[in-house]
Amino acid sequence: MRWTAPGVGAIALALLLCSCAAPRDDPEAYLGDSLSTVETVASYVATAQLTASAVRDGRVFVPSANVVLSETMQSLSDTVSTYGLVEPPDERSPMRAQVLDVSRRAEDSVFSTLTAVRRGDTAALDASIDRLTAVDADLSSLATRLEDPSGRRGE
Amino acid sequence: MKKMFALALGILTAIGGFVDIGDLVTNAVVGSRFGLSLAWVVVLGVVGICVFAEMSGRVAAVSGRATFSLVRQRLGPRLGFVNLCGSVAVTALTYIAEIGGVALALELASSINAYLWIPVVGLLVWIVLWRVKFDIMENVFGLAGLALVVFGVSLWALKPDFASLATQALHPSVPATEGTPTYLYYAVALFGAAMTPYEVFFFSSGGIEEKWTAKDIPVMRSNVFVGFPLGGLISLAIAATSMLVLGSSGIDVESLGQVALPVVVALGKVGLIFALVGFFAATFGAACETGLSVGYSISQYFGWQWGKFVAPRRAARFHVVMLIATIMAVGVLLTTADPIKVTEYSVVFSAVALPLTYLPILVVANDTRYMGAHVNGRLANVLGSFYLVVILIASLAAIPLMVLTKAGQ
Repeated sequence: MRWTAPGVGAIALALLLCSCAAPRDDPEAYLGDSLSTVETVASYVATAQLTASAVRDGRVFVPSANVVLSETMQSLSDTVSTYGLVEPPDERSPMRAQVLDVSRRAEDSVFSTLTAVRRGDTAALDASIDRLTAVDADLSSLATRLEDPSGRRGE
Repeated sequence: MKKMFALALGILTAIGGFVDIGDLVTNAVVGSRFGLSLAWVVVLGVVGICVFAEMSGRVAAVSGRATFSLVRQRLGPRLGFVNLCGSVAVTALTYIAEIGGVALALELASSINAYLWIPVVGLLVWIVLWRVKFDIMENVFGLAGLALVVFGVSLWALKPDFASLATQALHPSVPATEGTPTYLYYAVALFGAAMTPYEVFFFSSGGIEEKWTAKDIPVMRSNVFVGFPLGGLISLAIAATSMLVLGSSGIDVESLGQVALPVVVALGKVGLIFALVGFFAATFGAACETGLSVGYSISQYFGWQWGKFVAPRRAARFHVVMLIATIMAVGVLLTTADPIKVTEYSVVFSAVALPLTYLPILVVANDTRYMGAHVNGRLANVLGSFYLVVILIASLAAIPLMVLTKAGQ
């Protein structure tokens, strides 16, 4: 077989097109996306928790904490937006709503933490740390359910 | 006494100057995701950079010529030009990442957006490249980079089970949450970060700048064989603290601010000050080194006057190349490219370009016409050949692993 320039070009184009995003019509792939989103959101929530606790304990300078929380907020919003754009294979499935609900609560919690840090409002900071802890627990619970939809884990 | 001082200074600057943005980010990412199961790659990379830095330093000290002038002469203009293009492309990418790293460090300290810092950093780097003497630049940023020892202190303060850390490092395995391709991808990235090509260009050209002769070989070797491994320990400390604080909380590292969090948890504000100084010094020093390396490589290949040991007007083309590289780096970053992503890609592409840098050094170090009695011994050749095989495997595997794992996702 001889490799010609147009042939190589066509293969390269086909590979490029294959790599483009396509709607998720595979339930397994959508489940994978959902689980990955929940884990990523949990990582951002944990970052916000760690930073907020450090601010409360006077272990970090506010400008530095502000940068970490702002970046976390931005990345979290991007993650949630990206997930929201993917169409689920089954519109009746509650998975999408569950993931978006807990992710948006995570966004709200990180945002309120960022606001409390910027304002130096200790009471609001304590309240947002509590909210972050609650969201973290919900994310963990949702991740467990997504990993084992039949709920047979631990039986 | 003066010699001892010079020796100690050389070792300290080698330690402080070892870590750059690639090491900071990659070690923290790997630590949070893989713990110390990839510590063997850091060790492999540090031994590798020691082998080739010693070789290139010896070539510079004995022949009085730096890497690229010999590459062109030994490989011929065409093959040498291919080598030049690959090496300069990777070094320029690393330069972009380092300037971005300085901006991120300043953002973390000031809360002023990194993109506003980028032009300022570009200007400052250019002023240093243009006006500051080579030894001052090397010593100031190398010594300030020692502030990163704070990661070692933080590791101690976090009171980990050192036996368990050692077990994890000595019995590497793929964590249950990660796939083997991802593990291998990060192994290649970590190897690329430890053996970044610019380090060798800078080291050998620096030898010419400092007018090394064969008499300086023992001092050069002590800098390499003591300073670099101790610098490698800082890399391991970054990975270990990242594992203990971030990995245990399920945090994936995506920003420089996250890299500093373990220090904040362990040592509070004092630790954070040291970390910020260390980040700035390590990235600024590396930005100067990569900027110079771009100028060195191109000028040495084309036979132009180069170096900071002559007045800028006598090495005008060398300085113009560095100015263009700086403007280009700032321009790329101002397209709002994410410096951390640029860093992640730069270490992987470094791995791809490794054979281009290290094969010619091995060839020249074995040439008696240049090296005379200081030609490579058996140990240097065995190690050099072994590393060339490893480098070739890493180079060939880098892009397929990047595609397969979607850049380590």
